[in-house]
Amino acid sequence: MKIQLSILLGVVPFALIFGALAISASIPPIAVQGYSLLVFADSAQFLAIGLINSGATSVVVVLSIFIVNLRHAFYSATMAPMSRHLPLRWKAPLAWLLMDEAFVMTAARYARGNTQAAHWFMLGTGLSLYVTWQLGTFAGIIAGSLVPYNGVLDFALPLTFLALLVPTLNKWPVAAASLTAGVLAVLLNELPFQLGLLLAMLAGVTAGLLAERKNRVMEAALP
Amino acid sequence: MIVLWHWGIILGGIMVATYPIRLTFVVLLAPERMPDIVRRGLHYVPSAVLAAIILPELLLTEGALNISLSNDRLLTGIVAALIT
Repeated sequence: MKIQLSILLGVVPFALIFGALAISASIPPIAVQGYSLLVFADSAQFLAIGLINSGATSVVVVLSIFIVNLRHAFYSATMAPMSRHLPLRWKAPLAWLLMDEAFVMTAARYARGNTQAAHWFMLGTGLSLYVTWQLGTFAGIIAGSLVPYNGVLDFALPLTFLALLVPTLNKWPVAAASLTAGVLAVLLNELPFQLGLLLAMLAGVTAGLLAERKNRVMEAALP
Repeated sequence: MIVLWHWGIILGGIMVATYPIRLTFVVLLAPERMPDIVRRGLHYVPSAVLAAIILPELLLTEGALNISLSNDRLLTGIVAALIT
């Protein structure tokens, strides 16, 4: 519950900054709020504003968003076993809410072995993030240039993620996956469209699988 | 009015570039039909995602690697990790 609250508070600065940035890029307020309402994808929303601001064509904007959002296919695949027993009327809205924060919270809870009513947890988490995101965007639109961007507030979210990550690092393959993904994300930070993040995730998963196999080989070798 | 149409089209495009990706596996591919290695690999996605988001936040200052005592974020992160 504490972690949920800090993630909710953690997304507020991003929503505020998004609203304010979009307004300063002279996007009409109704389109800004509409974007948050209809897309609900934090980092992709920032990318779109940046591209629109630099005069990119609509086609470039949409294609870039598509590439950035490819990592959501990972999220979707990870959610598949958790949501397998659910009817489409559950799956469709859950997929709608599947942005970074909603995913990591649900997946981290699931990884800790708490599989009970995962869909209700995901729905509650996703909806509260959705509402927070809308209110934050709205406040950002209204406040505009008054929104402070000092790099302190937006650090709350990574810190909360850290609190989610640490308890999962209790096995060697998971640690190997995290270390590989983290280091590669730093090294590939310069790649466009957050491709570095996507590659880092792929490499992390591969490292986890390799470490797992090495573990098994070693166990099998023991008398 | 023409301006709003323009934004409507961009928004529609962005929706099309977002929602179907999130739907893919949840709806299209049953876990039973995934190859075994994929299913086992999924186990590592959450931790890998978290680490890939956090570490650049901790180690990079304005895009450059900064591993020193002057990096407040790194210090805060280390303390936070230790007390978690």
